[in-house]
Amino acid sequence: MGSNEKAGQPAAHPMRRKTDLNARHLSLKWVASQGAILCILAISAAWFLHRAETIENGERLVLRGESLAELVAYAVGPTLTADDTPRLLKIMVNAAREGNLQAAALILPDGQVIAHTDLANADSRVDPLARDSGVFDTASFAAARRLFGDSEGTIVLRPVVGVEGTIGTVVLLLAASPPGSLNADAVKYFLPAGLLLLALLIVGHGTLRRAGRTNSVFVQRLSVALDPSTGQQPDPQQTTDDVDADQTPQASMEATVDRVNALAKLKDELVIKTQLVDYEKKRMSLILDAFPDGLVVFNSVYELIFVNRRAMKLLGLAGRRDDVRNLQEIPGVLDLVKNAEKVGQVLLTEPFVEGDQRILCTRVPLMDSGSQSVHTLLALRDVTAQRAAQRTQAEFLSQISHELKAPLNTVITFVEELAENPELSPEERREFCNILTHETNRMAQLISNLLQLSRIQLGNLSVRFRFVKTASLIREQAESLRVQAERRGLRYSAHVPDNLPPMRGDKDLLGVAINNLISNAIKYTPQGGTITVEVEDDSNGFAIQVIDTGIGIAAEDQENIFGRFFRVDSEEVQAQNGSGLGLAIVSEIVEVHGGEISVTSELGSGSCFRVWLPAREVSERPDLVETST
Amino acid sequence: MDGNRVLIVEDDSSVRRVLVRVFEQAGFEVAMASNGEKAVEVLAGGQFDLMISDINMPKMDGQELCEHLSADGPYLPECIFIVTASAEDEKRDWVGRFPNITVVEKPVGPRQLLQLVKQRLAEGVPA
Repeated sequence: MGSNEKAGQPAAHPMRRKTDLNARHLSLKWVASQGAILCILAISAAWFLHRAETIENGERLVLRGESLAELVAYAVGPTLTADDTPRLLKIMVNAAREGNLQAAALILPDGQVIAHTDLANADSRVDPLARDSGVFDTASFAAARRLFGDSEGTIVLRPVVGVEGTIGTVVLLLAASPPGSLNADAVKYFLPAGLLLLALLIVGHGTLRRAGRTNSVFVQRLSVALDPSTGQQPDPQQTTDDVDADQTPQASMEATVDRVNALAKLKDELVIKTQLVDYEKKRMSLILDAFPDGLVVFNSVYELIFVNRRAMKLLGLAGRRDDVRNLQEIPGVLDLVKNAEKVGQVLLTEPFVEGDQRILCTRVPLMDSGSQSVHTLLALRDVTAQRAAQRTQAEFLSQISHELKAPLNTVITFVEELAENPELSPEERREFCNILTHETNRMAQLISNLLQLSRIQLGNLSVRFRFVKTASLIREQAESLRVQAERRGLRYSAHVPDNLPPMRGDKDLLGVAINNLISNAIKYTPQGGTITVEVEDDSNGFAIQVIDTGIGIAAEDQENIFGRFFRVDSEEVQAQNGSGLGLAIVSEIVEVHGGEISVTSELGSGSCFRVWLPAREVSERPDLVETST
Repeated sequence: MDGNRVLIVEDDSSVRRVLVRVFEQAGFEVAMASNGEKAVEVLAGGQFDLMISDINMPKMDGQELCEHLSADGPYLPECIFIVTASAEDEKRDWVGRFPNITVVEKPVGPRQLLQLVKQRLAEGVPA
């Protein structure tokens, strides 16, 4: 341009000519920029109006439906109630005002509509008609159809997922085609926003021009990157040229409009994303607070970064979380942390635990991506029940070994004598062999009892609940022991009525229980005594009674006889074979079947063991039941 | 102490018989009792420096026997062997109060028990 001017007017004063040129240039520039501003104004207004009217694409709408559902979940507690309505309406109206959302409603799982907006009327309201119009099937499209059935458009359903699952459904009514007239709300909302943005733009336009290449490139890159229509990485060289001072006003305006577009979009997304981040934070904190273990996160100088609810309780901080900012302020915790640092895991001591409570404290370094330890996590787990179970198991094992060692000792004694003593008479050899047989049988019986016990206690799955013919089960067991009783010179009678109600249970285990009770009666009743098996029927079940005229049980022993390995300390009892497990097994079996066991007895006159079992009754431990009745 | 007189306290009669025979063959003068109460009676009737007792017995068990002898007499033999099937340390705590008690864990054959007794006698009894 400069060379043309020079060629056309060679006589002019060089300085003056240059000033004129500058003035003309400036004036052109001013006109161009004013024109550009006017154009921008017009285009922006048109764009905003256009935007208010245009149906957005489906993908965007789906995102909005989900966002709304998440925002609702964020705004309410674990469940939705009608009390949440005012707050929900506000959220929904704000969210539904943009785009082609015509209305939104919130439905509880039982179909109750608790919030309903109708933007066509520029009003939001709770729809009393909808609320009272019966039960909606929330999962069903048809239910929402009923709500927005008369409206034109597409209905979109989105579940509202709270911390404990789906708590409701957001129903969106989307416009099927651009509305014929401009929505009053949209004008009200978009126009001031558009004007405000333009004002910013005018100021920003000049600033950008002056701010130099770097800022311009940055903003251009930002807006291009933010504009999904670009869809590709901007070419740096190209970008630089675009914002060059020599570009045409038209190009500059288009670039600015792009920026406006990108910024508006960015603003939209920021609002939604900020709310989603808040929602995520709240959800995470709900999850961590519900976590059964205590969790404490602190940094290298022991400042508390995070403490969940359980940890606050365990560390005695309940209700004063904000008062404590550093681990050093909690007496005893720093020592704990340092101990855990040495060995990885330590048990919490006083004053944090009481009595038998055992809290295991595990220290875990939290690493960043460069494997640098940035924070430390303390996990506090209650292991009281676990420790108690381990102790019980250890005690049981020790009892078992004790009970097996006694007969084993006898076996070793006689095997050794048989092997080492050549002077044994044939009678003595026979006697010792009999003892050996007896003792090995006792050990076998003990092992089988232990297995039965562990089958009930540890392997609940192997308890098989089936329909049991009660009368024939009891009769079968009672008759199988008749010979044994009569051989010992006892009067034996069993009265089992035919019309007993059926029950659900493990036939084998119930057989063991009845057998143990009758065998005990036979064992501890001297010759000439009487044993009676009776069955009584009542409305809820039936009771089996085994009555003997045997040695009886002293009052102080009666509460112990159902414990494991308990044997009454008397010559009559010790003279009999017994593992001390028989009644413990009966008691466990009765318990598994939801029954009760009791004993009445008098030392020297006899005992009556009574077992009551529920009829047609599923076990009180449903985990053991295979199928329901 | 000559260590030749031994009292064997055991409730199982057959085991007791075998023990008595094994110790007699080894040259001991043996007396026997079927429980703690009987043992107290036997000890009252003569001097025994050595006693071998089972722990689980009716009426008065091995622990009660030692505690009774220590508290009420007639006397605590100088050398005592307690045969027990218990593996739990807590159940043996009481033994710590009696320095002259040796605990032997079941199962133990009569000849192995005899070996242990001879060994202990050879080492001498703590004063």
